[in-house]
Amino acid sequence: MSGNIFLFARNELNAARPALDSTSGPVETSEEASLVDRVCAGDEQAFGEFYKLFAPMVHGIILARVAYTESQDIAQEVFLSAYKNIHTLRDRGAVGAWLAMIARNQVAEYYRRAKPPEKWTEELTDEFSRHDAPKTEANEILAAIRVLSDTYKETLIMRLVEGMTGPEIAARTGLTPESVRVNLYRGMKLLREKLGIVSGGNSKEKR
Amino acid sequence: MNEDYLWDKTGHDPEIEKFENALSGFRYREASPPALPARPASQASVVPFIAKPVPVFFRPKFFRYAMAAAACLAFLILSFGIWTQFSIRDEEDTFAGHNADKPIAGSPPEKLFEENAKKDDALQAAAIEKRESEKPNFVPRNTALSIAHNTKARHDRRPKAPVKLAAVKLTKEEVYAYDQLKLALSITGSKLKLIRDKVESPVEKVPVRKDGR
Repeated sequence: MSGNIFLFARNELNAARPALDSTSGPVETSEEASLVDRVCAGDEQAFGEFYKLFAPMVHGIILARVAYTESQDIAQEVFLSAYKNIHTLRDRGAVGAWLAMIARNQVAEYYRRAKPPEKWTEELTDEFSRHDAPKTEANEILAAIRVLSDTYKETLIMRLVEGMTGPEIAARTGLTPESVRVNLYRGMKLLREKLGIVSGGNSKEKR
Repeated sequence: MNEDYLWDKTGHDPEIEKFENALSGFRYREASPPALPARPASQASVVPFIAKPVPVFFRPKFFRYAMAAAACLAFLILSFGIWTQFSIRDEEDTFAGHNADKPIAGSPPEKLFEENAKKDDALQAAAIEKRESEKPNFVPRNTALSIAHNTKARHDRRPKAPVKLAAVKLTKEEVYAYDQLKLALSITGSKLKLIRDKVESPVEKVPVRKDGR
């Protein structure tokens, strides 16, 4: 128990440190910084590159909280908001974490505008199931991921849905590679427990 | 579970691959970026923005604190200068005044007090007599009673003589300490008075003395 708490605390502390991955750390951070500078200068092509680079991360964060059919529109709003406010960003190398924060805020704003609070719990599940209905197994997996904590579900969705690797997730979000590795490992473990998958087995066995 | 595959897709893991295949339908669809709004003139810049680190001294917060500290220091120096100027003049004035009133070495202080009291009595008596002489002549209706009453009233109107201190013998050291205390109190009092005047009145030009001070 104390070991788990220690791991959790270490995980949270590591999440606050900037990414220092050996494969794509400092070089990519400076590229991102120069990209942000060009966007600030009004370069539309640079903004296109910026969008392409961060869209999977933003979409993954949004998909962890919102139905798939709404996620694309919210992602567009996130980038519009980022473009309007990018000149206020002080640390050019932390643009990923800044974008992630905007994405989470946009999701909160979406729920504030769309539905009153008392209807969220009963209609949220219906909305997920209705919009994602054709893919049954996928719905089940996605629903199981969404009930995990924010740290795990965002990382898992970026890995399993968006197809990003661990180093890419660390570079885009600004988390340390160790933190991302822990999130992925523990997230997968919890996901398998939620889905009732026995460890080491390939088939689903409901407990 | 193959952790390497989970981390950077090295090797194979059928379970994770199954999840990936199932969830690929929810993947982000590459779309064109949103149409950019027109930027206000304040944000638009032709020259590319290059973020330069601001030196510590010019950061607004540090600059504010530095200016406040400099203002406090200047105020303290100015106050000290003005205080020094006035204290020198006060010491000279007080010293001159104190020397005039300084009792003869060895004479006890209560003698001075008694002499002063006698002087006060004499002055008061002279003032009362003058007042009495200026008044219209009082013609009593009755004789003895009114005279006695008037006399008594006149005496009552006279201010009472101050209480004389009991004679206390002091040593030379005590007398010296007493004088020093009086001197210190007078200096402090004059300085306080000056500060009060300075605070209450506008700043006036300090006159230059003939001796150059």
